[in-house]
Amino acid sequence: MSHPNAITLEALALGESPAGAADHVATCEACRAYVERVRTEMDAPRSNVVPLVGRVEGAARRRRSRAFATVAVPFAIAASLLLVLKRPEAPAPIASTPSAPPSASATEEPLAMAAPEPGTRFKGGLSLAVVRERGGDQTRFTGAVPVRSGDRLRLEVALDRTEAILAAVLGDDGSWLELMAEGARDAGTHLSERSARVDASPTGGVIVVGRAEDVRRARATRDTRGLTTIRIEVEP
Amino acid sequence: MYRRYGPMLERRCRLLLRDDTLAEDAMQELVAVLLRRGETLREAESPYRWLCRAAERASLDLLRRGRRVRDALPLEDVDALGPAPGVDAEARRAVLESLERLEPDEQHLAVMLFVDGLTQSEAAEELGVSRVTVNKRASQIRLQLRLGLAAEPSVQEVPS
Repeated sequence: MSHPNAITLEALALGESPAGAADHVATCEACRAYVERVRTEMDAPRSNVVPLVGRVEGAARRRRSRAFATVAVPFAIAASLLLVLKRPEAPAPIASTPSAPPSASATEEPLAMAAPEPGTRFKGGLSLAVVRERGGDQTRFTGAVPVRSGDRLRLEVALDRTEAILAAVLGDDGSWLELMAEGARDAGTHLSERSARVDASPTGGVIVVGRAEDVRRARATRDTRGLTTIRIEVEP
Repeated sequence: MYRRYGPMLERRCRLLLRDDTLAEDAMQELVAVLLRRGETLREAESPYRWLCRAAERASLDLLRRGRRVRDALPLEDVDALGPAPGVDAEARRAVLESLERLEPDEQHLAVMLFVDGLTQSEAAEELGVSRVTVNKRASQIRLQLRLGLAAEPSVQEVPS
């Protein structure tokens, strides 16, 4: 007796109606048992993939509200700079900030854009955040990211207009890993297609995002001017 | 869509990769594919089959890329479902444990024939090649994996 293939039986178990499958299953004990196993598997506990996917869906839902934030924040920063320039006696707030070691609580940011920290620069309508996954927990950073072996990093890039970008990790040891392939992306929030996994003997580095030629130049010269960057720091 | 198909797709990625972290990456790749090219899914006769093939491509790409050494789990740990009726359990195990030894086009065909249990005709239709081609490639896969299987009767090429 020939049976429908596994994908056909699984599709049936998932509520699709593949041709002839239901008739066969009605008369075949083995296939009926397999369909039941699939349904049981569907009810089994899930791994932590769902929250990651949820982030993508959430990012899409947030796109509209983020569009406002990505437009409003540069205006707010520009307005602040104007005020600072008009009052030369006042200390520049960012420059006077001591470069304290990064901590999760200081840089973690659930949704709203924070003022750039030392080592983080925003250019034009591009903003960058890093989602660090550690032991199943995810933390979002807009400043330096403390890492240790086993961590995974994924980028979240928000654009206020269509732009061709490339994103990569440039290690202090010269290593290079592209997380977002070169290409045009629409306005909105984008998660990197790839994630970087911190290996057993990590070194620091910097995440660079911007126009492909600028990013590649940064790889050769280590000059990150004109790029949006976030520093990766290895935890002691 | 994810609630309906996600667990089975996740299971498929884990089965092919035998590594939880890589399977998670494959699922992320799948989501990225859906966001980029999801509109073709609407035209698919079976959305599940479309998604299975996309998950398979993402998984096999990661397996081939091999940038990280995977920590392959025992097959039993990722195979709660087991083989479907009509699928040779021994051949299925041999393929799943040796996927990285196969060439890219052989990997896809091996999954179709020995894991999913498609007939050669079904695989030929899905891949857009002749059944003769599928039969030849299947023989090569059997040879490569030293599968002690009785080959399906070879077919003669019929002049068109």
